[in-house]
Amino acid sequence: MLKRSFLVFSILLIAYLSGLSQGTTRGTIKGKVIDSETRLSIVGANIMVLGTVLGTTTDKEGNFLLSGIPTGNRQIIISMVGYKKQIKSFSLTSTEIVNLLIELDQIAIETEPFIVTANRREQSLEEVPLSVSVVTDQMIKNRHTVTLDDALKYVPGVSITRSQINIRGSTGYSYGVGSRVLLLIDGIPQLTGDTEDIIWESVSPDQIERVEVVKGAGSALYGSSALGGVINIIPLSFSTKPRTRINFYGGIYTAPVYNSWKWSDDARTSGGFSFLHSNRINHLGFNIGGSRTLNDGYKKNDFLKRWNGWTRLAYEFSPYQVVNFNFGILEQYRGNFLYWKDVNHALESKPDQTDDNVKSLRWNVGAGYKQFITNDLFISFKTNYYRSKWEDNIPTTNDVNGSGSTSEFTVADLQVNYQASLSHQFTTGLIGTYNNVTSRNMFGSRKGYGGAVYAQDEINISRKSYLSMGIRYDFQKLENLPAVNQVNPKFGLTYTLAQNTTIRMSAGRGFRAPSVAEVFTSTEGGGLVIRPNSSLRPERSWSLEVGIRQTFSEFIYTDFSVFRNELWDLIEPAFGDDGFVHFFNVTRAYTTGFEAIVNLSLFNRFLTSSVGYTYLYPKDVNKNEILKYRPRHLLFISSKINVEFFQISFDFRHLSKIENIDHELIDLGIIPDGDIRVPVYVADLHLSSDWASFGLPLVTSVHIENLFQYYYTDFLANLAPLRHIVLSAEIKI
Amino acid sequence: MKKNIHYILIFSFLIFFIEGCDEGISPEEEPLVAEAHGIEGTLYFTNWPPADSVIDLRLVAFLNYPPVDIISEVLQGRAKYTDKLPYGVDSINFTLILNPLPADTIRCIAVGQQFGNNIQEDWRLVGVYYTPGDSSFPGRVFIPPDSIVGGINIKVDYKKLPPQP
Repeated sequence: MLKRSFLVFSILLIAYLSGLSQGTTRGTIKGKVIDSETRLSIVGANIMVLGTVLGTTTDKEGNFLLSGIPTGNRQIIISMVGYKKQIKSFSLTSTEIVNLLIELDQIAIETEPFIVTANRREQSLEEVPLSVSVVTDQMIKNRHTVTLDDALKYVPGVSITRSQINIRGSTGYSYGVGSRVLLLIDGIPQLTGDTEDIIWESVSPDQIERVEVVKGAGSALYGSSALGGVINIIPLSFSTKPRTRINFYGGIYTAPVYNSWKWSDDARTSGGFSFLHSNRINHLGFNIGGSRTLNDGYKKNDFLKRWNGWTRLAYEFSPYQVVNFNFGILEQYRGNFLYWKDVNHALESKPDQTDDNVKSLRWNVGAGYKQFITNDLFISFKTNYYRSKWEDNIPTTNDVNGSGSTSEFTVADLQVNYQASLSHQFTTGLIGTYNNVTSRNMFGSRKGYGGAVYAQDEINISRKSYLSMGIRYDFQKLENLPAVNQVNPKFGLTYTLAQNTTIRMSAGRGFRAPSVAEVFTSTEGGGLVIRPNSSLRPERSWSLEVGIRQTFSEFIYTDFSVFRNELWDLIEPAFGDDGFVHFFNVTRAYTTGFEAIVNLSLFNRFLTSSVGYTYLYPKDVNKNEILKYRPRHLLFISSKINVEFFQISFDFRHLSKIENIDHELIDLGIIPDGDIRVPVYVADLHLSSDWASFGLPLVTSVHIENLFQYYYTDFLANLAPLRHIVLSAEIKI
Repeated sequence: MKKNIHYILIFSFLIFFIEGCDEGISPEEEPLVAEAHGIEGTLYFTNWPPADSVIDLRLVAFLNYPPVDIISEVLQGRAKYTDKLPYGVDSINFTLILNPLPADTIRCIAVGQQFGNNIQEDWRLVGVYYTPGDSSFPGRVFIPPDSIVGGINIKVDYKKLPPQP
């Protein structure tokens, strides 16, 4: 009954809003796009009207014409591969045609100057007061990314500890519960309802246009979990022509050099395939894809078998009214390698853990609606339902057959953008969430709900300075526990010192409400007992940052930032006075440091290179020691050489040795040799050939991950992947 | 000249590749007895209780006596224990390397049993090493540097438990 009422209400709402938009007056723009240096016309440049789905491309003379644009103060984005993107602002009336001459500058360094996540709308990077890194679909493909966290390992300031992401020291390792980084897909949270963790496997790399990594607290716009940063996946746009891509790959792990580590006479292999079809038929755009992933695992009982499927549809009722639908599913069966047996048997787990495995089925379904109400008023409504089910066979004293959990997390998000004038952009929104967890031998049956309201104003103070201020109120209720109320403000300022120099500063508050797992976990096994703690408080943070972006020439781009994050009530598992393990608010901490990024283009674009270095000082104030599982130095170098149809790329990353860990686990003998760890020095090599110039719709590539077969742990007593050689072929039709 | 630079780059890369491989963590070589200090001996068991009441069982060497509790002493670096001992055996030989504890006087050597789920509190001593001829007090053993002291034999009779510290 409720669902039916909701459906009727939605239809009526759409009809009403459609009626409203009929009264909107329209105008027309036309123009020409040329190369600023050669003065020649640019063919195929993209022109998009910001805040609408209206767009076109330039013809063979570089001309374009776009009509039916809502009148008022408008902005268009002009983009073309190899050129610096531009935003043009103008005032449009219904009686006159705006004529524009757009001159694009060639660029040697590909940057992503348009960001959505920082302020919940598309805007120039120059206006963004935060540090933002972008991982493009090309970077994801070049690195043969099977799960997204593999690609994020190369983002400056980011480290991954056993699939848990850590931005500038925010997270460390929290045993798979309570991510301090929020994952969004097209602006909608995608954390599991029980553990509030990120399941990277549920996002297929094929469905990604780009990934935006916002560093620093983002709770003023995105609420709980955005304590250390936000990762927003921008979905792949629809192809204007039918396009199909099929990829096959197969790989092998190199055997370790030490005999005592060799546990299998068989080659350890990986393999799989993926496909994607994208098209637009009249008003309907759609992307559909799927993949199969198989991996024997280089460690014993670390195998993996996975199916992924996904689709995204969008229907344009008119250029001012679009509805979209998306669906994704993941089915996975994998071994559960917890810790090594000891360092002499680093690729084998303890004998009683060699049959542990986990099965999971996760799917999400979502819908969105975008509508221009008036010329300056734009609304979007998004909703998503995410169901996550897992079961393991790991015996506990509660049940020798193992544990499991099913969580259902539903979110609805209504956002309104109002452009009061060319210098004022107002954004506000309402959010509601509902969480339902049913668990076997772990968390019990739990329900929770929440709501939030936020508002933000962005002001162009002058042509050189740009100010943003925002605030968000969050309310969360979990079972019969006291409700969590939180107000998170933010402030940001950018100032253009010179044509190629922008300074920025920002301050924002973050918080993370405890997850169901942290509050309610009750399990026991192996002599350890974990018991609930209903008195947990939310974690809180303040992020401060000052930075400068500088383009020295078309060949050198730099970004330097200094940051400090103050953290209160960090939640960690620890022994209580009762001798049982609980999650407690144990730590008051801060992380401070600086980050330098240099992008270079050398030898007439023959070689492009990016270097990122982050220094981090993560201090546990309560214990007067370094925070656990945080490296102090992070260095990333990526280089790419293009030779006609051939491309070579090389990635190197260094993380300094982790200084502090959970020593209790080693001292008590729970993890043998668990304190053995080294700094990380890992290099990957990628060779790729595009055979299109020979008339073949084929890209072949060789990827060698961990080229130098460097042995290191990516978590306590867990040897990171050995050298992995992968061959892949992609057919593009 | 440009070609030569390419060759130098490729050669350097190959050298770097060959020289750089297989670094990082490696298996540990067996510790030389001369560099380690510890104790060894035999444990004898009789009258085992039901298996579900023996959640954990270890030989523990304490620098202090009486200890606070086994877990606290181990975490504070004042005691060291063996890996989990097997259930149901009549006897077992053991060697416990005490490094990084200092080579010093061990004030109590005992077999500890975890009988409940509380890892901190649910432990008891089920067998204690006594100096031959004196079972009134746990036997003290001086451990010289770089040597393993043998003859640490303990009888565990679950029907006749020692007094708890």
